[in-house]
Amino acid sequence: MSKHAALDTFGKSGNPVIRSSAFNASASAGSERMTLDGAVNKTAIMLAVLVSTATISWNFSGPLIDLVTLVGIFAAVVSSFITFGLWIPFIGFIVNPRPYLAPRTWLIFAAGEGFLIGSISLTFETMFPGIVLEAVSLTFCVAATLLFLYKSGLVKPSQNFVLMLCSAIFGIMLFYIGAFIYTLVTGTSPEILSGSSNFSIGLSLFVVGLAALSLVLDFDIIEQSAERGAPKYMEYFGAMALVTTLIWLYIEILRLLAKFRSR
Amino acid sequence: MLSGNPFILILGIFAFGIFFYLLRIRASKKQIESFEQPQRMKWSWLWLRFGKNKKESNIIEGESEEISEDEKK
Repeated sequence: MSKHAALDTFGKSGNPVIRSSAFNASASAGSERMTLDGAVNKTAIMLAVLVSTATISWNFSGPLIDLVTLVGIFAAVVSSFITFGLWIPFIGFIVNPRPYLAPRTWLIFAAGEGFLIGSISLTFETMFPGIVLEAVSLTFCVAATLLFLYKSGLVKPSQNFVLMLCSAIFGIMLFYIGAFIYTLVTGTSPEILSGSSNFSIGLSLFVVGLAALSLVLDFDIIEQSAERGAPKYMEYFGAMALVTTLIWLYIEILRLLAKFRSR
Repeated sequence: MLSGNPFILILGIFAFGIFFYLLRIRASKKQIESFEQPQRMKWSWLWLRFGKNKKESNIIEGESEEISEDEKK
């Protein structure tokens, strides 16, 4: 007599739920996995949406477009917090990340960030003609270099690397918040932030370096998720993370170039 | 808008192409193997801890032990 009588029975079951191809189909649909190609396609689509809305805020002006831009930026910030959460060193997550929401928030995020980029770019282009395309070019030069270093295995983010980078980013974030409050109170931006002194340029270079190193984390999230067979929504999450860092890098390069030009 | 340094602009076009080409290809074996190193940052907590829509499995995880009928006796 077989020791696996129960298994034999279920294995030979005529129950259509257990044996039919419908069961197999639903199982594979529920376990859809992330792919590298999928993440790349989503990144390209997000950048296309971003450029489209940036073009709108670049080309049109007036109270209506200002209102749309403000609402768009606010929606992008909210969708970023909802998806990525908020992490503070030594405390942990104040807001938990929800990567499974990325397929719903990416469009609001990309469109809103586009409005932000469009208005910032227009301001800089008005002051320094030709600076925007230079900043875009340099952003992709830096990103391509870091991506090569990552893919070749020359840069491998360890836990200490991530901790130090996140702490440094948090420090810069606090500095920016402090500078923002200072500007609100005094009505003038601090010299180190808006000036073109050596110290100010040095700080800008440091922040560009931080943004560039953050790209390594995004590449790592995408690569590891694809390698470990993460759920499909991680394609959107990885793409959102990458686009966020590219935007940050672009803005910092834009500011750095502006400082060089105003010397 | 096109009044920037032409060298940087051309470099940017190449960098854009290289970026998307590199993004699409799989990382080197050296990088993939490093995922298993103990000090290496692992991102699986993102979807394991904060993932949702995880269908509850009816499989009870753990070690199963087969008891033979002779042992029972």
